[in-house]
Amino acid sequence: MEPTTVEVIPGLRTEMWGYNGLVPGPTFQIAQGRRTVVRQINNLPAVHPVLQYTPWTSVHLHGSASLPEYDGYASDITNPGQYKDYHYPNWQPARTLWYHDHGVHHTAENVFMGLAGQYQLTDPLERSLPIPHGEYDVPLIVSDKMFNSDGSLLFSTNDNAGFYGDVILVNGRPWPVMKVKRRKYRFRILNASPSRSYNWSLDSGDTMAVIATDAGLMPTPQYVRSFRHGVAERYEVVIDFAKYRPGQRIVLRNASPKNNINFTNTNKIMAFDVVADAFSTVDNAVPASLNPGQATMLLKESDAVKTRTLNFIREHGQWTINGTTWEDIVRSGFTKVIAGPKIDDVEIWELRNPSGGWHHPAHIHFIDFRVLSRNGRPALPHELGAKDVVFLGENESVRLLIKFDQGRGKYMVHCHNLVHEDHDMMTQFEIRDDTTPADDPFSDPARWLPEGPL
Amino acid sequence: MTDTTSTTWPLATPARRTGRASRTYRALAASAAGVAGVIHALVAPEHFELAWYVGGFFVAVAAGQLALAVALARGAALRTPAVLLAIAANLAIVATYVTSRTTGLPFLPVEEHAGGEHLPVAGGVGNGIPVLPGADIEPVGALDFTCLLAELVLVGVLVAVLPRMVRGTVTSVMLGLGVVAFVARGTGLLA
Ligand SMILES: [Cu+2]
Repeated sequence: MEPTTVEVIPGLRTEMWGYNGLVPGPTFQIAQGRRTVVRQINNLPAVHPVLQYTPWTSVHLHGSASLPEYDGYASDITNPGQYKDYHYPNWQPARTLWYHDHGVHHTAENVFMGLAGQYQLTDPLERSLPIPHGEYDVPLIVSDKMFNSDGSLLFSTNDNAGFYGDVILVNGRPWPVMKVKRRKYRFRILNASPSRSYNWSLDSGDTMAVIATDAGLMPTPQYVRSFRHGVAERYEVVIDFAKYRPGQRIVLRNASPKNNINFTNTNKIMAFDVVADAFSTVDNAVPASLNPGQATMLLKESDAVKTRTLNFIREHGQWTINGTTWEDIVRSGFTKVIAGPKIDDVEIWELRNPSGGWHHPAHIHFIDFRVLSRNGRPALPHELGAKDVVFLGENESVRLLIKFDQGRGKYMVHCHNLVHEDHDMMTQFEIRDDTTPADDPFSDPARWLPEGPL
Repeated sequence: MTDTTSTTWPLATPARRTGRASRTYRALAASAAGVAGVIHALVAPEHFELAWYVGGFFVAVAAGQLALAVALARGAALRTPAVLLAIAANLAIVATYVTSRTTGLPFLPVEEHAGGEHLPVAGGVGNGIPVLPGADIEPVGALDFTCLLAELVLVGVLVAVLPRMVRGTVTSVMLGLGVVAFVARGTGLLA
């Protein structure tokens, strides 16, 4: 993690922070079963040049069932001048993950500075399907930024509502145009914005096939003309450009969900220019059945042994979950938890946003869940896959089915509007196991440079 | 108040300010000071949560304005030095208010996240809390805007009751300060 100068706005230089100096960070492609160690060295300045804070970090691999000490626990920090080796198990089904900063108090600012990237996990099923691969499998990391006239980043959290930029970046470029051949493409869309939610559609009015959600391939593809995409969610979408004529331009648009702060050009994301070039016809399909054995999606509501309620509410000027903040967790010496499910239990968690004034993308670390219902109705079509973030719109409540069978220990649950998270809508739960003790989140702390052996 | 107005009420010295016009002035000034004082008193408790000195400032301002309101209502003599002091004090309050709503006040505590002080982060260097530009700019609300209007009315009336010679000087000084603030903002001296 180090400072870098990038040219986002043509002709202007922007100071940002990147993993290996890249914004967004390098994309990982990892085969299931291959364990990885990522050494994160904090080479950021001692103090943020504008915001005056010391940018300690804690790297979270979002979507990974990592041990507690490698999950990017917010208070398990790496100061500038320190490093930490993160171990990732990679035994889970294929999915699009992402890694980003999670350091307590300034996650939003660190991510806004550029500390985010994509991490793709593949498995035999994913490789065997005739869905687009290789050059036709494209990450789209969407974020929004605001700039001063000299090109420097402009910071405003809008009275703790969120960071909302007027410039939409895809893979670090503002409103890019991509040349596409007349075939199917698979886009791994990651909403890496600090606060903004989107609602995608094509200006042609055509459908897109959603084939994967946060935790990987859905049982069956879902064809939608538009869908809502909250912060930190990942959706893999296949768009078929075969029916367009060469020279045609297709625009990916954003009909913003309520309560975002919008600007003149935040209603468009990027464009695809169709070209007549030759292309491979291999992996140019969307099978009607993708992943019928998806374990999380096969969970039954009747398996649940307990129902818990998590209210995402504003209290005394603070964002809280059931009135609890991360400050309360810190004050308890990290012992307080809002839920203590037993290992291998299945539970229903009902997440509620009782306000009509804002929305919350809620993230539960470590586990995958199935969305049982939304406001008492079936889950939305694009949510019919295993997930780890769920969008809580205004006055919405969702019921999630979760099996706590992937491991044990304390993990965070929080709002993924990073400004809400920092102020202080984050708490933790603990997966309890009477026989095997869990690792402590602080059991492998950062070390001071120089680097030791890997 | 312009000179035209002053010739309508040809009252050269405070001592000669008797009669209907003077009573209207006093009543207006007293109620304006009263309104401003009450508002400052009402919001003082929440400002003590920010810092003792911020709350103390609000109590002092409330006490001063309420005392002024009582004095005006009781018909205390409008001695020029006292009136000048009241004008200067209320202008300073107005300036502080305008600064808090535009550029932010420099001497306020930085972060009120988590309702006051912050727990130190174990092993952390510094407190890790970003200082966002403009984070110390407060939004304009109905109550504080009413208070501002009351103070402006109060200052206007107090200026009007000054002897004509003094009044000219005071308005020139006020105009001058306004120009200085405007230029300072234009040149970036005031953000
Ligand atoms: Cu939120």
